Amino acid sequence: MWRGSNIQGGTCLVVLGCIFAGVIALFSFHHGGQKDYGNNVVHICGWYGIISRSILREFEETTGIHVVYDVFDNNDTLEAKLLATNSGYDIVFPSFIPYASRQCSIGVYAKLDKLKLQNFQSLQTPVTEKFKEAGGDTDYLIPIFWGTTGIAYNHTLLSELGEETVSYDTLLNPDKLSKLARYGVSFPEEFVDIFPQAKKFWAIPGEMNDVGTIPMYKKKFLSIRKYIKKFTSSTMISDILAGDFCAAIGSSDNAWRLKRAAEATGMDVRYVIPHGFGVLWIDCVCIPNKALHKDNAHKFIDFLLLPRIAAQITNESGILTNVTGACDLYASEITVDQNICPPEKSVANLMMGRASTSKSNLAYHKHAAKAWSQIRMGNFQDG
Amino acid sequence: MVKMSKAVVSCIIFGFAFLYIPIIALMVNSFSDSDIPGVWTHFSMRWFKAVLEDRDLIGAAIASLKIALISATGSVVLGLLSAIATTNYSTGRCRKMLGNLIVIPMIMPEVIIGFSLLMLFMALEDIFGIPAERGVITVAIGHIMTTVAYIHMTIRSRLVLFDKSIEEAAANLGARPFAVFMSIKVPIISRSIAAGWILAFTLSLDDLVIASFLTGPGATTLPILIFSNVRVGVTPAINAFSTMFIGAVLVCGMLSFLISRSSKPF
Repeated sequence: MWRGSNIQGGTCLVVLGCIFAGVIALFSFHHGGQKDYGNNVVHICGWYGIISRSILREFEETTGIHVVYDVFDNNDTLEAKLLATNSGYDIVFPSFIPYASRQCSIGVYAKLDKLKLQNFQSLQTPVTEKFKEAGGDTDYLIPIFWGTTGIAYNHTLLSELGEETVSYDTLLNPDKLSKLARYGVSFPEEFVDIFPQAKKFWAIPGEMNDVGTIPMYKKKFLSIRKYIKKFTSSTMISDILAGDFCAAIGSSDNAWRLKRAAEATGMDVRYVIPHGFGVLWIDCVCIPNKALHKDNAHKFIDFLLLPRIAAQITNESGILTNVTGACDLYASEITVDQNICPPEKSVANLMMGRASTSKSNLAYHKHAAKAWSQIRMGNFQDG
Repeated sequence: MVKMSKAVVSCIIFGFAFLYIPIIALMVNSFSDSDIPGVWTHFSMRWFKAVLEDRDLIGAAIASLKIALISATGSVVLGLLSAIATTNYSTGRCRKMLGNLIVIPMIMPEVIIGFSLLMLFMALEDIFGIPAERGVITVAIGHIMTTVAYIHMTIRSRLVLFDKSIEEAAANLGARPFAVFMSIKVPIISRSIAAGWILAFTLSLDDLVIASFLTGPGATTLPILIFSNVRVGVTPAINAFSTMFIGAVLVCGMLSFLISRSSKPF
């Protein structure tokens, strides 16, 4: 059984090496991991790839404040961290509905000091109007990024199937959807991106936040559930390009990247906001209550509100920025498509859910989210 | 040499194809010029260049490696001690219960571990003021908690087969307990220690759930970054990075193979 010294040499060395490596890592964490910038730092937690390195570097150079940029992978864990305790972040970028509005109503965020935000007036836009209308409070949340939810589709394929003009009739009508099912149709991951359109299309009565209407959504969606191949908000780009899907309901910034990539490969992919069915979504920027570097955080937000910087973010990522004057600096490849970048006057016609600030809205969001996850899993129940 | 039938050979080929074709496809696609992973246009190294210039990606990789090193080493130490304690130093029902208690985190959903640890750190911060903020160390603690069970199992399964008479012989010849431990026990079980370390390292490296609960400023791990990437669409930079990573793993595997071969005198 035991083969003596042959084990001793090599493997013992490996074990010692492992332990040594661990100790070195621990040691290097204390010395190299956290450089001492004192209080001259701002901790940001945002999505990956929206705010580019060059923008962060420019901020560092103009203000001398060091930026520590971390990313989060979903709104739910960010919320858990924000609610639990001091998250350590000075700036976060949650989605407005339902997350930021809910967090704001229970006092997670600090009141913004308007005196420190010189560019605050550049928020006077139609999107901000919609934001306030939905229950948003610009004293705490700044609606910095926005876009629409619409339908991205492979035009060549759908034309062959006889669907020249794509609307929600194509995707929510069981007869039509069943024809497309074979070619793959994906729906959004979260209910807020689909319920407003569904409500209008199926003429579901009552208010947007009426808990009593949820069973109606459920019944309707279950009738088309078996034709939906996937629920995703993220893989739409590769799904359609790879030819696995012919249509997807998704956000305009993803659609912009999808169109750009499709052009490069010679595919005819289009994005459309069916008339009267456009849905507006907003991502906020805000400062958690327990942030340690609130002054620096204000400076960073003020920096984002500069039209030049806002336009750069849009041109790099396709996400629209809610800053007056930025639109004039958008690249022509963004402004050329009125679906990707809706003109200012049409923003007022876009639909939007309600902020989860009141008790009834909170209850609605909770029940709707539960119903939506049941709808999503529906396929497992009927095999 | 036994001659293998065609059926056996084709089974082997199928089995290895199943294991390795996805990885090869990923590596091939990292050399594509396209903006979308999985779509081949023509050969290019631009995504490798993009990886080397992407400070976020590199920073996340370094944070992940740090966490993996700390947690693998930490849990090897704890797992070794617990394995020895439950095989040698306690008796009867107590031993069985302790052994089971250590293994429970292995079957616990990660969401529960992540969230409960977050609550714990929050309470500790309120009472003692430490940890003042979350980051590399808190994530490593979370990983140690889950991986210690795996290491405990790996080492314990070796210790159960351990021939106690060797230790007794050494003690008879005058070795003190510590000398017996270092020169008899550790060398014999060193393979399972190394295996456990590598297992813990790997588990820590690809954990997303616990890390996303316990992370803080300056400690974005690689899985968090990749999942955050889906917001803007994953680029082939991730493929290129994976290719580099697989290359590094291959080199390390090669090296350890060479070391273990050269240390075999007979």
